[in-house]
Amino acid sequence: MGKQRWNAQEGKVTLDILIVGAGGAAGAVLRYWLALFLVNRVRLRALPVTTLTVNLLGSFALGTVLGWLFASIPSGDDILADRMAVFLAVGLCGSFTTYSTFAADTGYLLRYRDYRTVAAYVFLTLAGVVAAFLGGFVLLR
Amino acid sequence: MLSIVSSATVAAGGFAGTIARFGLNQISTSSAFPVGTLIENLLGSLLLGLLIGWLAYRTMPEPLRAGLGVGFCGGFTTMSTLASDLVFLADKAPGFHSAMYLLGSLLGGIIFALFGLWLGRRWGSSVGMRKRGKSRWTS
Repeated sequence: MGKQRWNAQEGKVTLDILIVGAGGAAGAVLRYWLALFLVNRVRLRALPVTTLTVNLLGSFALGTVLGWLFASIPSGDDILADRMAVFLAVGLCGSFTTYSTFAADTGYLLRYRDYRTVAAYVFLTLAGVVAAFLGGFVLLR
Repeated sequence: MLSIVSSATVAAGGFAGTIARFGLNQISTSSAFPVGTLIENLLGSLLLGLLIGWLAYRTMPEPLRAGLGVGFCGGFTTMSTLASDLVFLADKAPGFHSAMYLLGSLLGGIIFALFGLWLGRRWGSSVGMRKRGKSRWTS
C-alpha cells in the first residue's frame, strides 16, 4: 500500500514534515473557505451539508491521487513522486477532509434525538466517502 | 465573512494538526491495521468535543476558535484516509479487521466526541465565571 512507501526514506523526514504541513495548511484553509461559502447557501434540513461536501470531495480527490500514483509509478522508488504523494494525500486531502467535525456533528444530532438525520448522515458519509474514493481511484488507475 | 486573521490561524492549526497526524502515522505504520488513523480520529474528536463543550459557557477570540477547531482538529483528523483504509482493508483483510476498524472509528469517534462535549461543558461551567445566556453547541 502507498502508506508504507511514504516512510521509505526515514532520513529525509524533516523536508517531508514541512511539505506535509504545507499541504495540511492549504487543505484546512480550503475547507474553512468552502464551509464559509456554503454555510448560508445550502440548507438540507438538519444535515451538516458542508462537512459532508468536504469529505466527499476530499475522498474523491484522494482516490484520484492514489489511483494516479499506482498507475504511473509501479516501481515506487521515485522520491519526487513520493513527496508529491505525501503533499497531496496526507497533507492536502487528509486535512481538507475531517473526521472530528463529523463525530461532533453526529454527537450533536444524537443529543437532540434527531435519529433519522443521524442515520442519514452516517450512511451518506460512510457509503459516500468509500464510493467517492473508489470512483476517483478507478478513474485514474 | 472572510477573515484574513482567521484564515491564517486556520492555516497554522492545519499545519500543526497535519504534522501531528503525519508523525503518528510514521510511528504506527508497522502494523497492517491502520491504528494511527484510528487514534488520530478518536483523539481529534475528543479534542473538538472538549472545545465545543467549553465554548458553550466561555468565549474565545474567533481566530483562536477557528485555528483550534477548524484548523488543528480538522487537520489532525481525516475522513479521506479512513475511506482509503476501508477500501484497502476490505481488499487485504476483509471481515473482522474491516468491521473492527469501521465500528471502532464510527462508534469510538462519536463516544469520544460526546465524552469531550460533556467534559468540556463541565469544565467550562465549573471554573470561574460563566458566560450568560443560552448554551451554544455549534462551532
